[in-house]
Amino acid sequence: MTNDFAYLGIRDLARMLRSGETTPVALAESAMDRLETVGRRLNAVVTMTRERALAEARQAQAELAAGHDRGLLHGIPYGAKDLLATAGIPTTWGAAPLRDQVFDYDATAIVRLQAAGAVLVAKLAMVELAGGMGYEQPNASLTGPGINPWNENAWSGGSSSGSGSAVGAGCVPFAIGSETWGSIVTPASYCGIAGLRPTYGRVSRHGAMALCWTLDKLGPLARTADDCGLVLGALAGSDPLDPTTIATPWTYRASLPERLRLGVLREGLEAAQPEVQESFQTSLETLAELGTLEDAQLPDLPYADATSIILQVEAAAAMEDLLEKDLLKDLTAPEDRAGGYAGSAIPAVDYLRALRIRRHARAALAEVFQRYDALVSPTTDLVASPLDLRFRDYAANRRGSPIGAAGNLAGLPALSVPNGFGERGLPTALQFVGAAGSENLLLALGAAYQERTDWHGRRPGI
Amino acid sequence: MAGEQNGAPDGLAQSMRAIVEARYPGRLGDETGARVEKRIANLAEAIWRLRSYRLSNADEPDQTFRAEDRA
Repeated sequence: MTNDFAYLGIRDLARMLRSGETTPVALAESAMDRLETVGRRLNAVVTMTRERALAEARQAQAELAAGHDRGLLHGIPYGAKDLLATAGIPTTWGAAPLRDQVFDYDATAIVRLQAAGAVLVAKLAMVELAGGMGYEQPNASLTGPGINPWNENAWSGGSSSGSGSAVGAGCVPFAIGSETWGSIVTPASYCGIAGLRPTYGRVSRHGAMALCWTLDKLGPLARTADDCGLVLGALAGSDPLDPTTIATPWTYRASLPERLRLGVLREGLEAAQPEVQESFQTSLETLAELGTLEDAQLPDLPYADATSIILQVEAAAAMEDLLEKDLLKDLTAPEDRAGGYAGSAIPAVDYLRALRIRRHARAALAEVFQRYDALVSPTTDLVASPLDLRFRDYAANRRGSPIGAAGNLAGLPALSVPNGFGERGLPTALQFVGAAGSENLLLALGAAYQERTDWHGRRPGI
Repeated sequence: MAGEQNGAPDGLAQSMRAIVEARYPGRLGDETGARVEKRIANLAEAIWRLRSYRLSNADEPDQTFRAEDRA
């Protein structure tokens, strides 16, 4: 987007569209211009959807001019992680051997955003096969490593790399990402933007690449918590094409309880980078204005092991076709070429054991949310890693909080918002994790935090 | 975690390797094979740790099969 529009939130852009200050076509053109220049430089783009974008933008323009207003997303450009099927447009799953894959239908998420009048301008880069093959360093995509808008020698995070950097660089006001285990909140954290991982089943997965049927979630990355809420409002809802979707309708209506109780997770915090710790401590002082804070601990359960077994088995099954055809050998990251095989050898009884433990985890975490409205922790212990380092070498054996594994295992929503800066000028972030179905509370928390801080208003010098 | 123990028996990883070899013949002989072996070893450890978590006959998997037609 040109500097006139880059970094503006959805409400500002919607107001400008209705006041005549701009048009959907002008917004789409400026988003595509910025994606072609800045976005390409950050390896954030797989495919520009110019023809479709202009058709959707022209339609939005005509409808708005005729008084047919579909809501705040009407005429707003966005990008979609390249694991969402789009009719007639390549959907690569970030994987070189699938660079020519084309579906003849749109994913439900794309259909719903189109119904809301949003304009798809690009398919955005991602870690190949959503990171499920075990990548160990940033160069694991057919488009190259995702580059961070705050520091071009740093990674943008994964697996929704392009969604994070395109929003972070002001190319699009929002993007759709997916999370199996960390793939929305991590790039949101690294790129200094908001990212919402919805409750499992809140958003239909139909038409999205399956990595792990019982862990995959789709959700928005955007400038603010409020923008995430607006986008989720369009995405959410049951879908007969995805039987795991939640039947209860969801409406974006952010609200905080009168007596807000926040549980502070400190496990692993001592191993976080000093700036991450400092940002978190400062955030807690801000959050103390909103409610009571109390140190909390997660019940002692093997969250990471259970999540890992479920993920490895389901990924091996979901990618069986690629394994059978020996297509993984053409993936970008050498370590990804070994993906899937080990998972295919996990005994069924041990997969079921992980699913049995998952039930315990869900129950135990539900009890935690009897005591707290939400849990709060740093989103990541480290800022984005340098492009040329293996994650293991950068992390240096740090053992972080189990909340990422626990939250994903139990299908819980999480919202990440920026809360400062760390080494090499890279963003730090704070996450709120809530009970299943608590997105409105998390979004209200994020909005209240962002009303009191200006981290989300900072712009990278790109 | 109650009952936690470390160190999966070698036989578990060896059995898993045999399954991979049988299912995908000829894929374990090179650099990729070495990576697969390492992952198998890591997963075997994870499996072993999960096996130390106590479950009863009443503990069902967290997935629900329904026989009714929901279409």
